Amino acid sequence: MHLGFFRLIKLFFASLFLQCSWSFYSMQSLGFLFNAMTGLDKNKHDTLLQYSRVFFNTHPYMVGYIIGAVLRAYEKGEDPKEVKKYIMVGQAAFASAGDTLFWQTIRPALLLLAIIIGLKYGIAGPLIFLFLYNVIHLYHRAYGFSAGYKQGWDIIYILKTKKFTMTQKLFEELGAFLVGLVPSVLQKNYNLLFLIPLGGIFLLFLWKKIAPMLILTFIFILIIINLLLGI
Amino acid sequence: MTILGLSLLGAIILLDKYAIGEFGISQPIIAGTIIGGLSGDIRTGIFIGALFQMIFLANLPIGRDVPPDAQGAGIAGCGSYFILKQINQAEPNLIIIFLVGILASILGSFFDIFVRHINEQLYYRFLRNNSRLYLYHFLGILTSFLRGMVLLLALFAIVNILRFPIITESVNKEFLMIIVVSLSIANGIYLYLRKQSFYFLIIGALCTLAFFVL
Repeated sequence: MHLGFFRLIKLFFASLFLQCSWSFYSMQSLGFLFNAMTGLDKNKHDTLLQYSRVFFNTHPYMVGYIIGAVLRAYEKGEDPKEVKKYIMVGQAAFASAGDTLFWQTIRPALLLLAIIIGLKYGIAGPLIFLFLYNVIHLYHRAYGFSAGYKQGWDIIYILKTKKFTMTQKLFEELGAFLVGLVPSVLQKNYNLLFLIPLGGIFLLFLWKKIAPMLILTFIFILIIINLLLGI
Repeated sequence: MTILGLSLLGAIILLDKYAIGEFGISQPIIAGTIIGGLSGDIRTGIFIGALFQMIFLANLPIGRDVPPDAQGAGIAGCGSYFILKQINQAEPNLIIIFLVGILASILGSFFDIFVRHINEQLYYRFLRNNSRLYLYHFLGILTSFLRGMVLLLALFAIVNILRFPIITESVNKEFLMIIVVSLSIANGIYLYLRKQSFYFLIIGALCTLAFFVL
């Protein structure tokens, strides 16, 4: 089964608007319906609206895998109630994998690269980030639709393939290397010894799962103290 | 750039946070580059953007969590710098810029929650009338845009009105850089410290050491 070039393009652009109407109650539900309706034949829209009007939340870059499988299921005339069950399972699996792969691994690693290069060589840093990050996530968006459509609900096993695990490992190592390299953005005459206690305190905050708001408040207090001493 | 122009630009960039595309344009270092470029000082834009980026590196928008608004902080901080430079001071106070950014990140997350509740109302309207799916879905872009516009316009207006003390730049910059780099290292270790990647962290640290010694 093939999706067709023009349908793929339509779906791809629709997926860019997945989270427009993100809400606490239904999360990406409207975005999911909008995406699925973009790729589905008009005479199946009513069935989709009747049975797939569900709570939906997945990683925005991974939605293609699920939508592709949904389109295939509807076109093959599968029972909409079964489709609904698969959607519930698929969204959670791809959400968790996408969050770990993109939010926790690829994005921070590439941002660290952008910070280090950007502070040393200017605009090259941000440009490298934009290029690499978008190549990876746009590839996932586009490939997701065709792979999901081809493999149906078996698409979920793609998360265990070497391609996924290797990408994650590669970016974890790159990220770790760049963390070690971050202090090089400081000037040589700075008092670098402060990095150790401050870094330790912040790490303790993060490990103890202290809310980011509190960490920001701590920084806020440090700044106020500095401001008062500075004046 | 005027306050209105900056707010408009910031609100458009903020759409990238989740409403449209998520290309990474709203990340502080990229937003800083854009604002800096349009204000005629791209290096400072990158510098301020990078500072905010380091602070919010481990800010993960997972599930229903609404973390502090890193994107709003970057735009507000960078925009404030150029507003102060334009009207007020030769070399704006970086610590004030920082405080404005942190305030924006806290206010931004409250605004985020508010917008999501409005979107919820749009969803309920959709449940009553299926045929208007496209309308209610795309109205979400408007709510996101207005969120950015209200947040930034209010902050930029305050920055424009108030007058802030000037602090020696060297004290200012060194203190900030040390805090921010410490937090960025903590963020990075929190994200990447695993058995298999530990050696890469050490290699990176050795490279830094070589950079300072040589």
